[in-house]
Amino acid sequence: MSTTQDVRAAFDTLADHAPSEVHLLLADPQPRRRNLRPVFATAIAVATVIALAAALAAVLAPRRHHAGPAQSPPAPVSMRFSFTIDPSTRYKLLGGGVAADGQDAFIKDGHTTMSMHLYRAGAFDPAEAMRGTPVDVNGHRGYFTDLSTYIGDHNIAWEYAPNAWGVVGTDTTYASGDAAKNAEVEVAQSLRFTQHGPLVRVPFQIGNLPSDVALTYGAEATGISPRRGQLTFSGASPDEMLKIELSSSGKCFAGGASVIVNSYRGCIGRLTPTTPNALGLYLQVPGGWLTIEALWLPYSLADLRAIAESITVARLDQPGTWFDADTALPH
Amino acid sequence: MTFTDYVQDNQRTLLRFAMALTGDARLAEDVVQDVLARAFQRWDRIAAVDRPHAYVRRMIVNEYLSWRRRWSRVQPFADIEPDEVQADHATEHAERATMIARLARLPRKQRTVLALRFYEGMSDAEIAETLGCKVGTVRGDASRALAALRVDPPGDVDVHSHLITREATR
Repeated sequence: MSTTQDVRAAFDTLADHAPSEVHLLLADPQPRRRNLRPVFATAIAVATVIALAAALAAVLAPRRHHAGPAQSPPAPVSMRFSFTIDPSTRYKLLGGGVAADGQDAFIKDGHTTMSMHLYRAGAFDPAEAMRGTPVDVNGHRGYFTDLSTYIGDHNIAWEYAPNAWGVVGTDTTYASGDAAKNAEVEVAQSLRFTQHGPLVRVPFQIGNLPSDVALTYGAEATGISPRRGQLTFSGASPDEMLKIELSSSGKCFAGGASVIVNSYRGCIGRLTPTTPNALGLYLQVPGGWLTIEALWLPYSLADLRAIAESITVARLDQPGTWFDADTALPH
Repeated sequence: MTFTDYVQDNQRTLLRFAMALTGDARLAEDVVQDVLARAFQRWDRIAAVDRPHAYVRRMIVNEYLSWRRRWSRVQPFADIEPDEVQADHATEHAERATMIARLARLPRKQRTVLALRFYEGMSDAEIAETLGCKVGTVRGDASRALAALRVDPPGDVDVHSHLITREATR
């Protein structure tokens, strides 16, 4: 049995591994009215040294790749959302993601941001939720509670389909539990479930992709900052991951060699000096950064470069130009 | 206090707190970076409050718990092991590594409560104020977290003396 002193010591040990400095690039937001003071783009370099390589080494070095008999990647996951939001409500979808174990969505009603997770059937144990206060969501049973695995004091969990549960939480601190409950129930009630929901959309299209990985996660964020889209591919081992993301924010990683791909400048190399199988290629593209990261996959830097060369980027600030996840992949 | 003065005086403290909170150096840096960028834009208001550092620390907690940070599917591994291991401290080293690994597996909310209680030395009432929840919720989360960590119930936790000791050694 451990003691609270062990907990303190563990936190102190973690803190001792903190990065030494943080780099700030600060700029005023766009002026909302013409008569506001002009935009001043002030770059304050509080510190310029970022120990990203060391940080990543700390993150990645202890991992071990479990080499074993050749296996197949997992089955690809359909990138289609299983719901839409009733357009007659005031709720808007800011972004979301689809994975094998469920779907995430981030929803806003003008001032409050809600997060929602829809678990696939059988993936959520409702026992803890069922200790809460019963609520009704469009005729489906639900509970208002404080889930230990979710954020905030208040969540609702409801059974949106047989043995399939959704959870809504909020970043906002409500004045009362009833206010939080009402807001979360309203969000849940605004969902319309369908087999023909929209596909995840991403701001890039990939022309060349290795065959030993399968698409297992996709996410988009069009209504929030930073705008971004991401596709993650998994290999045969749970450790093996290829992540491709285009985001409106980013930077090169420390220790990367300069590279130019498709006329875009960036960096390429090991994400950490101590882990040979964590490779990255970051490129500054119009409006943001394209990042390609391969973890524990048997790829070379040339492989990453080949993937990057095959990618067509859309306008990050124009989601209408983004690609449905199925058309974003090579056929 | 200007924003630049504040950052120069406190960035190390903020990064250490964020690292204890997240267990991931890259995430800690990202969280602090994003929070300071937002704080910069409304520094006049933040500097005017009684305890601007407490305000910024709360921003860090909120950012860590925010849904924005849960978007990434790449989870922090937090397999950091203590430095300067000596042979006669092998058992202690192993126990420390085990505790860090267990902390990494806690739900974020529970981990946050423990970080505020045992790293920052805050009382349950202060934690509740920081997280915008009830004291009972804090105690419930702490209790569940300590059970998951297989830690003896704290009994009379003297977090404030711990904080004073640790501050003195910084």
